[in-house]
This record gives sequence, structure tokens and C-alpha cells, in this order.
Amino acid sequence: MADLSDEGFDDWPVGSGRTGGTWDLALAADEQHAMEVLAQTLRVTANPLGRTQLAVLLLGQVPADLLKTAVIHLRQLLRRDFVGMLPMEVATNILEYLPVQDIVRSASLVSRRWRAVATQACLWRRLFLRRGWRVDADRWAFYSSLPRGICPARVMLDSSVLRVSNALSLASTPNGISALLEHPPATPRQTLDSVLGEISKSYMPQRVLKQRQFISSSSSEASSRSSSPTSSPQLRSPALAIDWRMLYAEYERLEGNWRLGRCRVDRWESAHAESIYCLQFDQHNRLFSGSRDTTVKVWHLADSASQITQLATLRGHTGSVLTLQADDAVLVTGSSDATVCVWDLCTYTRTHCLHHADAVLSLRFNTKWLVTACKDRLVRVWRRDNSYKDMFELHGHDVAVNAVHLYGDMLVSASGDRSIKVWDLERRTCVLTLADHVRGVACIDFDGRFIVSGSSDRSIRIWSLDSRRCERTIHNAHSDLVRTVMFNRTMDIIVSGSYDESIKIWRFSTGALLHKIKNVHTSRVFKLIFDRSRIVSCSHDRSISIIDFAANLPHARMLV
Amino acid sequence: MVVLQSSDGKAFTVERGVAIQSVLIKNLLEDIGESDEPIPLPNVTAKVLEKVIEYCEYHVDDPAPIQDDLDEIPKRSDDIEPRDENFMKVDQELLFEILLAANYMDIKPLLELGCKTVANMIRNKTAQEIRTMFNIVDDFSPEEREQIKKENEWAEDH
Repeated sequence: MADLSDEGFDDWPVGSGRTGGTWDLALAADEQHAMEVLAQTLRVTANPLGRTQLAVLLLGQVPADLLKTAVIHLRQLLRRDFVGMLPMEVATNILEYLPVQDIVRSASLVSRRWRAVATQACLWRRLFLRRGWRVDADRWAFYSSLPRGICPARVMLDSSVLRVSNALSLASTPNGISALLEHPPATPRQTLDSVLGEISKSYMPQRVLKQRQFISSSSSEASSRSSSPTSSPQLRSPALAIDWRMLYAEYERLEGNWRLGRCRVDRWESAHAESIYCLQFDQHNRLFSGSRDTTVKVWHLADSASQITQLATLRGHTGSVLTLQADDAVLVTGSSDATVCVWDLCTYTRTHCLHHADAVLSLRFNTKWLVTACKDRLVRVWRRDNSYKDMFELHGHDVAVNAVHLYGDMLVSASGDRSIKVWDLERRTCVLTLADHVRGVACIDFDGRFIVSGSSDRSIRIWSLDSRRCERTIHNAHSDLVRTVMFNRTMDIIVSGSYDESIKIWRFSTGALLHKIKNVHTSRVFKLIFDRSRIVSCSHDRSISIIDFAANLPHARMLV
Repeated sequence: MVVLQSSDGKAFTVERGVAIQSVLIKNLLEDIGESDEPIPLPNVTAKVLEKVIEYCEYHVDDPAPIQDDLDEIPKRSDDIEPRDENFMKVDQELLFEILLAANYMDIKPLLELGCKTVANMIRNKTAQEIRTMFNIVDDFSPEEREQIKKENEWAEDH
């Protein structure tokens, strides 16, 4: 048995003796022929043992000084190209154990066969999923419906322009949609146009789809341009199109950007006339913001702040809009005017108005519950159906309830009384009180297992529902009240915003500070929200900021 | 007891618990029921089968392997037990044959052990070092090489 330690590197020229059959020796033709006949005879007549015996006998004839060469050569015969010669699934399995850097820098450069294994989609899909990364199917369907050569980010803009074009009645202007593009599309106009038609099917919310149809029918420009409006290209199947290696590469870069703080900060000034207290964006790139100016605005969030476009302004509150949440169909807003409004996102009209005794500071809803937190110390729970009936109240906090968060039937509330309470909504009882903060709790985030809270005591605390206690405290996380916090355990990230005007990024697992993002806001940060590729925040300075970690990574927005 | 017969005709008598670590044999036994007939393994020589049986005998009491499909953690190969590591200290030819046999006989833990062993041989080596180690011919054209290097640039800034 050979020792593996000798499997290293000797001076035998690579590739010269792969099969061991032909030696570059100066042999006469008849000698060469005689050897081949001998070898052939051996192969067909002798059994393996006999052949071995003869080989050893022949080796005895080799002059001592050449024997070493012969041994080196023989050793080559014992080597095996594991990745090249094993079945594909076994070879793939081997590479899956390697660090990605080794696969890319070494394994894929060994030979063509190795490269074929090292670039397989199934290998990269597995490596990708093992990083805990997932692809948003809807967004993938959107991107993969684009023809080759069109930059996804570009079409994002194009589709946003389409939405806006209705609002601005630009569909009837001479150059229509293309007048709004910074650069004309690389493909013929009608192709892009029909593609955008497809996008609207797979990507745009119902209302936008209607707008799109409206544009098509009312714009002579659009219909005359399209030579055959009925023959649109086939919608490609999203499952076929995923390039897992490319996606892996982009996500790797994206994680590096978060780790190293490589981001582009875009500030969008004067989004509202006064302070902006709350915001949320959804997977369709719709952004909702609520302000002290009593309005709620709906925006289309493009890749940079200069590309933000307004879709609607919702009026109805008579006080500051302090809190909001939206899903695909409805938007719910809470205000200092002591009301909660429910808005239909198809018609942008108010469908319900729910009354409180005092300012509504925070609210959350899911398919079953709507929960609102009030300055009057009460948490109220409403039925989440068409009636929005007042179901019950939760008593327990001594002063204003600043924040609530829902997960299934579990509710977490945070109050100025320094405590955080966990409630079971089915049983209508408080199941846990967490009271380690030394001043009022301003904000919370909750994922069903962990709670992260920010407080007026300037600390951030991480709580576990499993252990029912505080797992970690980041003391002096900010130099003023921590007003907004959000975390994602898969990304291992916490992002916090403070009255000290800064936004900070932390490791969830260690509590270590990764970055302080500077020059984002010039006053108190009220709310932030982030996804895999960006942080969006709002402030007392009336601006909305986008901190983008995927500026040059067009596919990164598909990450969930 | 179960009798396994290697491709070169040698018979090995092993306990049922040892044999059924091979999913191939387990399924076979379930199909044909108990029988004194030797089970032929036409793809496995006696030398390799002996090693495979040695592994299965040692691991006969191991708990069933956990299904790890779509596991959210990258695979690791630095967790091989010392005894298994020693067991895998064989020449490349035998290691290769063990991998083939583990794949053919469907013995997942042995296959994973073999893959980890090979991965550990490859780890931290350059392409040239890998070629030398496994006696592989570099069959890329210079143009292909350039193209690949360009494609792989994304991994360079870490």
C-alpha cells in the first residue's frame, strides 16, 4: 500500500506518460513492433498473475540507472483522475466538499473534463442552496422573460416608466414611452414593447396591468408601432433559465458588499413636506411612506433615488401618519389622529376607518389578525376580514405601547414602561414579559424565535423565545435613542437607526458592529427596512435614503 | 448470514446487518427473501470487497444517516474520524475502486467518506498541483484558458 504522502509532486513531466504505453525512446521500427506483439500476446493469453510475474521478470532486465525512471513511470499508472473518471454524480459530490474558491481557482482549470464537472448547474444549485440563499420565483419569472442583451436593471426602469406614464398621461405624447428612456433599447422597439407586455402579465400588480392595457388601447403610438400585436413571443419557462453559477457569483459579491460596507447611498430629498415617520417597500418595488404632513405616498422604487417615481398620494388622516403596513391588496395606516385607515391598493381609496382613544403608534397585520398599539397603553386586536371588527384589547403595559410585531398567533409588544411582552392571541394572554432594558423600548423586530429590540437606553438587545431571556446586549449601540431596528438571521444581519442620525449594521450572531453608514440622514432616523440588496430609511430630515449593496449586481434583487 | 461473491469469484460470508448497509443488497434481499445463494457483485473485485466489508463491519452499529438534501450548511470534510481516516490511507487505485464500489453498492456513508478523502487531497492545491497528483493531461487551449480566467474573476476579491 502506498503512503499518501508520496502523492505530491515529482519531476515527471506532466502529460508525458498518461497511459504509460508509449515511451519516447529511440527504438528501431522492428524493435518497436516486436514489443507491441509481445504486449498484445500477453494481454490475450496470460492471466493477471502471470502477467505480473512476467513484468517483474522484465523489470529485472532493466539497467539499475534506468530502473528509477521506470518506477516513477509505474507510479503514474497507479494514479487516478478521480473527478475525470468517476461517474458525474460522484465527481460532483467530491467538488461539493471544496471551498468555492478552490472550485473556481483550481478545479475548473485542471482539464476540460474537470471544468465540465466544476461548472455544472446542479453543483452550483446545491452550493447556492447550502448557503441558505433562495431565489424569488416571481422576480425570476420577470427577469427571465427578458430577451438576451437587455440589462434587467434597465428594464426595471422601463417598467417603472410604464407605470408612471399613465399617471403623467405621457402615453399620448408623440414619442411615448421611449422618450422617457435614458438610452434607447438595444432591441427593435416592437420587441421591447411586446416584452413589456409580457412583463406586465408576470410581474405587475393587477392595477398596473390595467393601466398597461389602458395605455395599449388608448395610445395610437403603441398600436401603430406594433406590426402584429397578437403575436407576442412565447413566455419562457423560468425553471429552464437559471444560471446558478452566475447567481452564486453575484450573491457572493453581494454578501461581500454587506461585509465590507461597499454600498451606494442615494438620498431623495423632500419626499414629503414634513418628517417621514414610517415606510415599507414590497417585492414589486412599491414603496409606501407616511409623514407628519398627514399624507401617505406610494412610490415606485427604482435602482437609484433619482429614479423614484410617485404613483399616488393618499389623503384622509388629519394627524401625522406614524405607522403603516401593506400587502399586495391593502395598506393599513395608523395616525396621531387616533384612527387606523385601511386602503384598497387597486383603487387607492379608503375602505375602513377604525377609531382609537389616542394616537396609534404601531400596527401589524397578517391574514388572521390586525393588531394596533396605542398611546393609551392598550393593544387592540381586530378581525382581519372585511368587517375589521374590534375583537378584544390586551391590557398589561403601564405606559404607551411603542411597537408591535406579529408572527402567526404570537404577538410581541414593546412599551415605554421598559418591558417587552409576548402574547398568545388565541388565548388572549401574555405568556412572557422581558424587562431588561433600563429605559423605554422604542422598536422591535421578531421572526418567531428571536426578538431584537432598540431602546431609549441606547442599547440593542437580542432575546430568544427558546431560552425566554436576553441572549445578547449591544451596549451603547448608538449615542441616542435607538428608534428603528430590523434583523435577518439568514443574512446574519441587524440594521439599526437612531436619533443620533446614524444607521449601523451589526452581525446578528456576535453583536459585532460591521459598519456605520455615514451621510445618510441629517436628522433623527425614524424607520428603516431592508431586504437582501438594500436598506431604505426615512427621517425627520424629510428625505428617503436608499443604501444599495447591489448597485452593479443586476440579479441580486432576486435573492430572498 | 449473507454470502457476497466478488467479480473474481471469491465468496465472503457476512452478517446480515453488515451486508444491508449496502442499499443495493438490502433491496435485493427484500426482493428475493432469505436465501443461501451467494449474491454476485460483478463490478467489485475481492480486494475491494474486502475493504468495503471491513468498513461495513466497523460501522454496523452506526445510526442511520440523516437525509441532508437541501441542507442549509455548506458541506465540510474536516470531520473525518481518525479510524476512518486511517482506513482510507490506501493508494489512489484502491481508493478509486472503493469509491466506485460504494457508489455501485449504494453505501452512502462510505461514498461520502471517499469523497471527503479526495476533496481533502484537492483542497488548497493549484490546478497544476492537482494535475501532477492525479496524472492528468492539461487539454485546454491557450484561448480557453484565458476565457476561463476571465469568467472566474468574481472569486478573486475574497
